[in-house]
Amino acid sequence: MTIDLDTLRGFFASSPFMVDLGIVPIAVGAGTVTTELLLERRHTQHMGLAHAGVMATMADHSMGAAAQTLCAPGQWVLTAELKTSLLRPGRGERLVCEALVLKPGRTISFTEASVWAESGGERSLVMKASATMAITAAKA
Amino acid sequence: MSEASHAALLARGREVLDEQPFSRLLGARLNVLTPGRAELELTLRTELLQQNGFAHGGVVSYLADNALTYAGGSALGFAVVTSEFKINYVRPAIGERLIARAEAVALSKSQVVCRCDVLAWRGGEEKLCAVAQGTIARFAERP
Repeated sequence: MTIDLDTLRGFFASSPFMVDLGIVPIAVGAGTVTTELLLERRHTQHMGLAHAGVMATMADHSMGAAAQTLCAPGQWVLTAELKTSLLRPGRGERLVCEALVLKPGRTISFTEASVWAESGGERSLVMKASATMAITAAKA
Repeated sequence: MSEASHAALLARGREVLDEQPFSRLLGARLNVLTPGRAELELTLRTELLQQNGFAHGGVVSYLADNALTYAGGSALGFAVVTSEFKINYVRPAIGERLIARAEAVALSKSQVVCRCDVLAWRGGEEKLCAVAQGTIARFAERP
């Protein structure tokens, strides 16, 4: 299945939590997806840093989308497991997530993601994540 | 720990939750907080779902992460952040609300390993939908 950016934007728009947070795809290739989130106060925790849950959500959905780009029509992706490492405090104007498929499979795909925080033109790696995606038949 | 200090810990925990804009956005509630143990809950609504109508994996991992952090922070007794965590989604999270129960299992001076179960409540029945484990560490920011 070839997925162009407009189609992928449609997939994200069909996921209420993505819409609620404001996470959108900005680039897509075969097995790769890049997403962005403009940081607002509602995305933060009590110290004013981006909440780990926000970054984990972004990594999770972006990796799922990357796996989706390599699926056959009628197949859908569900996260089976997700691991995140929080390398630095997440602060700045924008988060960017780069997700890629390490190894696609018939029933599971292995994926990886990096989340970057951009502040005043500089970017720092704030989260490294990996996930196993289950490939399922489309819902009835 | 006396009953009064238990109540004070829970009250302080609820203040911190209220100071987290993201937790307010998701509507999380802190039900239980004792040293090394925490229970967080949230009511599911459309905005928190993914495209198949399950709770979004990010919502489940938010709840697990925050419960792990409360269990770890209350065990350590100072400001903490998540260092890393891992979550297995074992069943679609479908129901009226989600509950995360976390406990500290291995405490050291500057960090603590915690475990968490996330349960989905549907029609009076709870079902395990995710299990998580993470390391919660002292928050000491370096430039």
